[in-house]
Amino acid sequence: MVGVNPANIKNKIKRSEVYQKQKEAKAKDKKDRRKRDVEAAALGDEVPVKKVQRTLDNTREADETVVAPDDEEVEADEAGDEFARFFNNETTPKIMITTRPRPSAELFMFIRDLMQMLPNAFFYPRKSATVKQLCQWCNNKKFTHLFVLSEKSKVCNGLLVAVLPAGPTAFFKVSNVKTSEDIHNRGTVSPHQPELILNNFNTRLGHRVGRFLGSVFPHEPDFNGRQVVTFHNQRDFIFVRHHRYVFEGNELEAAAAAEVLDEGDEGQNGGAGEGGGHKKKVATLKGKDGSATRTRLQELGPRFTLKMRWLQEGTFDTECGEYEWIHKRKEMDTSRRKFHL
Amino acid sequence: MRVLTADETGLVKVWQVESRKLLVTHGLGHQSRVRGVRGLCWGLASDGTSPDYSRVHVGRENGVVEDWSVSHTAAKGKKLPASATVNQRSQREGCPASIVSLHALPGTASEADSPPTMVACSATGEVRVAPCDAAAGEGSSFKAPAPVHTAIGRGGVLATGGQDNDIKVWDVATGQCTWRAKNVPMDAKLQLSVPVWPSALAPLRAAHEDPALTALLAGTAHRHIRLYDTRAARRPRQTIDYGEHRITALCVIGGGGGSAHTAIVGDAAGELTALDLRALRRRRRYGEPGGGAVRAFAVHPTLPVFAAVGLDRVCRVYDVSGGGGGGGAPLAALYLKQRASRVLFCDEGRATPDGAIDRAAAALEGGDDGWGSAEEYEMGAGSSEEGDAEESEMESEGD
Repeated sequence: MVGVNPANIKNKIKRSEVYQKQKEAKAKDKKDRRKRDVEAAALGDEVPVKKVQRTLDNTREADETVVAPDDEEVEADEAGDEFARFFNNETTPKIMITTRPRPSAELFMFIRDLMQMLPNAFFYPRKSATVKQLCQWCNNKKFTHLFVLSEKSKVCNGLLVAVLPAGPTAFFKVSNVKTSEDIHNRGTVSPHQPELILNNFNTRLGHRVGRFLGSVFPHEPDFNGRQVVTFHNQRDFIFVRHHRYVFEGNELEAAAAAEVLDEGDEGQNGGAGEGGGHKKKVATLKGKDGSATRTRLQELGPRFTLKMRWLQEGTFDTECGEYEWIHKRKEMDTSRRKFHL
Repeated sequence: MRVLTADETGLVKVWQVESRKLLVTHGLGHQSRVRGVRGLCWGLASDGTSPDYSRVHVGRENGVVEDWSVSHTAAKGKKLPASATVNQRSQREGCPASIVSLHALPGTASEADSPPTMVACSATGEVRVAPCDAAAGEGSSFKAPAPVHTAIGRGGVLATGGQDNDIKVWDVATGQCTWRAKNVPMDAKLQLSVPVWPSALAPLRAAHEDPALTALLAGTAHRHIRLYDTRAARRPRQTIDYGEHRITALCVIGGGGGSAHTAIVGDAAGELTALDLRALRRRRRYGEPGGGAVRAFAVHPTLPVFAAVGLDRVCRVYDVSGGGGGGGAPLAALYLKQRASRVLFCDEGRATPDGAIDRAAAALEGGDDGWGSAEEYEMGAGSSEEGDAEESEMESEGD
């Protein structure tokens, strides 16, 4: 059966049988090979070196705009850009979330999750205001960010983020939205400020987008809360996740800390002098033998994917505004190995 | 070919186009938005109309205008690499902040050989007219209506325009408005007036043909292209709808002996197209334009080549006919690292692979530049008068 190409079999039932058998044989082959390698490694025999797979990520086209880690010129530019005041904690972000003019009820589940994920976020109904009017209103009320969610068929499909008063505006396509209701074994969000992880924003444009997204959060995380929001860029898609983490080996301390938190006590070490058999301190993270500490994650709030469509200079103005970057499919998507962020 | 680019963090860079090499970066270590370069222009030669390619004026966001001298060394094989030097000669403070454009114009005083003046126009409408040499006097200033988004100057004349502020031509010496544009007639069916927002201006004819800036090409934020003749009428001679985005930059390519017939249009989404001025139709689109708004153009003084810079941090140099790069691609795309606001072309011709400069191109101008020589020289290098002499030089590897 191995040499037969199922595509040449005209009978559908027979064709699918042959294909299934080939699939199962391939999976069995892979499993046996793995088992052999594990046994060989256990016995100390030489394991055949696994070839590095060729992927789109590791064959990515060279991009001269990738920022070197020691680039002083880019650092100096970023020290004076529109987001520096957020990263310096000079300004605390204050976010207004709104929707398209007549939102569906299902969108509010997503908005609720967003408001739990983003500190200092407020929802206002859109009614019939234009985005320019919203920007003006937000400036009057000293908001720093405006989020406008658009949707199609009751699912969020677009996110416009404007940094105020005069900062850049970006529009992202939103996909694969999963609200917290649909997440299995989800945790509960606590009011602690989350930590922020920005992964793989390597090019100059990537830096810009990474800083744009990072400016939405205050940069004074509560490590007690062990909550983290991750923006992971891969192939120009930005995966947004909200987790609570716990380091392995510290479940007891974590449970103790959680109980202490429930009781309304903010102290990391628990109530001093209290009995009850709880450990008073959270254990250190470094292993004595230098081993890495494993982390377990519990997913919290929403899960969604962003892809940037355009980044505009100034507040929203698609008629007369200037674009810093706009995705032009025919010119920019010329190769499967070319990415912009 | 060499270009000079300036960006919003205050850096000025000199590039060798063919080898895509950065020759000089001026301002590293002093980057900030308040020192961002908003105006950049060549100095004026003694005849009052042609530019002096050894002198450049830099206008910054904080209202400081600096006067520099620029010198070049051509490469000679691999042993003598190409390089350039920039030296600040003087600076003038107290100019209006948020400069929109900076021009070196002939002297405004009544004497025959009055020194060239520098005209700085800001977004609030303040126009400062002062001698290029900071020590030669304070000059004068006048106020144009705000907001001003674009301005060009030539001879003794400055043209300004902005949102809801149609084009006005000012006499720089007296500060009087000599001509103001009138809007096109209302839309007949809808009875709605067409909004006014000139966002890019360019002179239609060369300086020696039209010293008083009577023929203007304007692009608006509402996607119109308009031709004006200030001697004939206040309304535009012709107007067309053009493109899908705000027009942010324009330049006119001289057509050899006759009058210019091609304009390059840059818009807010980075699109670069050629406009035929005779038929007012779009001729060609330049390939691989990038996604950022075009901020400025520079046209080579002798070759049919132009450079475009913008918010996508790349300077693209194109052949006007669209060839050279293959499929309309640019001759060179220089990654600038910062969002550039201004670009200028030096008057060096094309460099051949072994570093020699194409003398034929230099000879077209009829000047005696002597660019084929490998000797380093500085034209008109005066001692710096007031400001600090900042010097930075970066040697590059051979071409």
